[in-house]
Amino acid sequence: MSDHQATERGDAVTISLVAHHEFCPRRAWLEAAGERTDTRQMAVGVASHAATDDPSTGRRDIKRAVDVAHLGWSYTGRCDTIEVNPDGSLEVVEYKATPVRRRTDVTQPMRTQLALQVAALIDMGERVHAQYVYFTEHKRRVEVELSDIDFERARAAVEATRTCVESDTAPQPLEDDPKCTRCSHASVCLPDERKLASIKRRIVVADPDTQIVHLATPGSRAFVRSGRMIVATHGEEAASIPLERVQGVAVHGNVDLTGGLIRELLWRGLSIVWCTSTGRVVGDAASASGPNGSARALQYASAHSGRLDLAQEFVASKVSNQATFLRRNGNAPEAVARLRSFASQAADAPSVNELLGVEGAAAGLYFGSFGTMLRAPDFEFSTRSRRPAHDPVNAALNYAYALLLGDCIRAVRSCGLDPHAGFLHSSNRNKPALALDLAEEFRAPVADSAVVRALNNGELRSGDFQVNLAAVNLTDKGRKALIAAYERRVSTEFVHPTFDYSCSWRRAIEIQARLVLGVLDGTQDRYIGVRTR
Amino acid sequence: MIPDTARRYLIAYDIPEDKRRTRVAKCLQTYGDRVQYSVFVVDAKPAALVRLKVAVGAEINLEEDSVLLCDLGPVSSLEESKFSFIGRDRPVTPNEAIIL
Repeated sequence: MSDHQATERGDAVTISLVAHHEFCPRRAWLEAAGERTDTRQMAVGVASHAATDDPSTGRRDIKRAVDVAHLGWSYTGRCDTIEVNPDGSLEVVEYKATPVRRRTDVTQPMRTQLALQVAALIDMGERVHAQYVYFTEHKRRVEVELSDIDFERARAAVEATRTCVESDTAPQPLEDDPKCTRCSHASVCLPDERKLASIKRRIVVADPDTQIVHLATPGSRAFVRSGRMIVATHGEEAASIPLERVQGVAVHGNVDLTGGLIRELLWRGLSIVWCTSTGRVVGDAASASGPNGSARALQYASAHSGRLDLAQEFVASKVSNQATFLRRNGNAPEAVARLRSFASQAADAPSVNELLGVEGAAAGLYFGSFGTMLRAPDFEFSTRSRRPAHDPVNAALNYAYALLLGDCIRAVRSCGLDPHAGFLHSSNRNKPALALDLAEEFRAPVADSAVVRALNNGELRSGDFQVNLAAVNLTDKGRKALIAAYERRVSTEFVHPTFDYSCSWRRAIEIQARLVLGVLDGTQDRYIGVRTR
Repeated sequence: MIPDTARRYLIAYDIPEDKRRTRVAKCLQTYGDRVQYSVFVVDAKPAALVRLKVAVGAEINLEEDSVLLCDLGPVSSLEESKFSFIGRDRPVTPNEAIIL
């Protein structure tokens, strides 16, 4: 971080950040970078503080949510509750929920937190008589005695926190630490995945929410009413979905969202992706409070100077996955063998241009044999034609790639990166380059797989396509069938080849996006793509 | 540690006062679906359940009103046959992608 930014962030150390730092420096970093998770621990923490969050609920002898600051040590913070004794001295009470540990132990982060609150009050000229932790689930108040050693330690903790969050690089995750199993940030920190090796213990049951709402009926309109997302077609209510269940919205073609709904979705941190009815991603909307702003700045710098290692890995794993998919479903052993050698060539390609050459040659070979995977007599495949699609298979592939790109945009956004600054695709063509980069390794196992299965088992029939001179498109019905086939594929669980645990393809896309983030912010040595076996 | 997976809850309430009852119903429909006049089916992950309890708790009179939460188990292991209607059924939001 450059100096002028450091001064801006210099006064941003808060007591809660110090408490996070005492638990784990990387958690403080993630918090400072704006990473938020929707876990039970976080929800309980928010709920247990609700009673103390409103200053107006205070009385003369009990003050709530009091903001404090220490000018000398330079930090700010908030006291949950301060009781005022008749003699004017204060008793500080910190509210704590213990959803995970379930014991009324006063931990080191709690001691530090209280010491900083008390030190700030003393610095502001108050007299503090005693300090307590109130455990909300046990309804029990525990007095905490503070010594000079505690205050000295707290002061050092403020400095350590400041150094941590102002550093250029993110701290490394803890290694094999039992703390990670009860950390609310494990799903974004990925402490075990950093080693890029098989994972023995399993921290997070990271079942992803696949409650994406696809709006694909032309002329329908979606709005929000009493906490529900209502979808109406020609004035008639077609569906009503509780907002807490919505994890993302994909809009296909001519569907209107009201401003109120868009605002509500963004307020909840959910993203929206718009596509045309022929499967072109038009744009996306993301909440302004996304995390990792400084990693995003690093991303632009890396995209500008180029990262051949990332580009090599995107292409090598893409080609490798094409080979595996063709071996499993088609009948072209020679093409599979040549694709394997292209994959290793891609891994050592000396420049992005040569890499693109290898990618093009591999694509020609792969699509040359693509027809051997199709079992339905109605469908033939000769060559890949992007836009316009010359046959139904190409039309379906185009559409599935748009759905995959939507998921990649969501994954890239959720870790705070910019979909537009990429390492393989050029950023100067108004394309979501990083999302396209990330999509490469998932094309064969997710998108192609969904299309081949949908065609082979009759979910998509010739009647689901309409021919417009030389261009072929999906009908409304065909589009919905393909979306269903894609959704089924992307929520299928598989064994992640690097980490050996099972996760859905959609979660895998986000894990890979977070590995890219790790490479950019310096906590990850290298990137390994998902290569199916 | 508690697995972070969604569970299905049957939530029923007994609230004599109209205003409070309406507010609780409005709050619950943000989280799940109304299957009877005072019965909701809510599929929620642990975090959402905590928010729901706080939100409902803030609306009701703890002396007079009663809200029953019945945990029906993880959504992924629910058998559809265990959930049926006689007469008119009310749709419950499916636990998968929604295509409209």
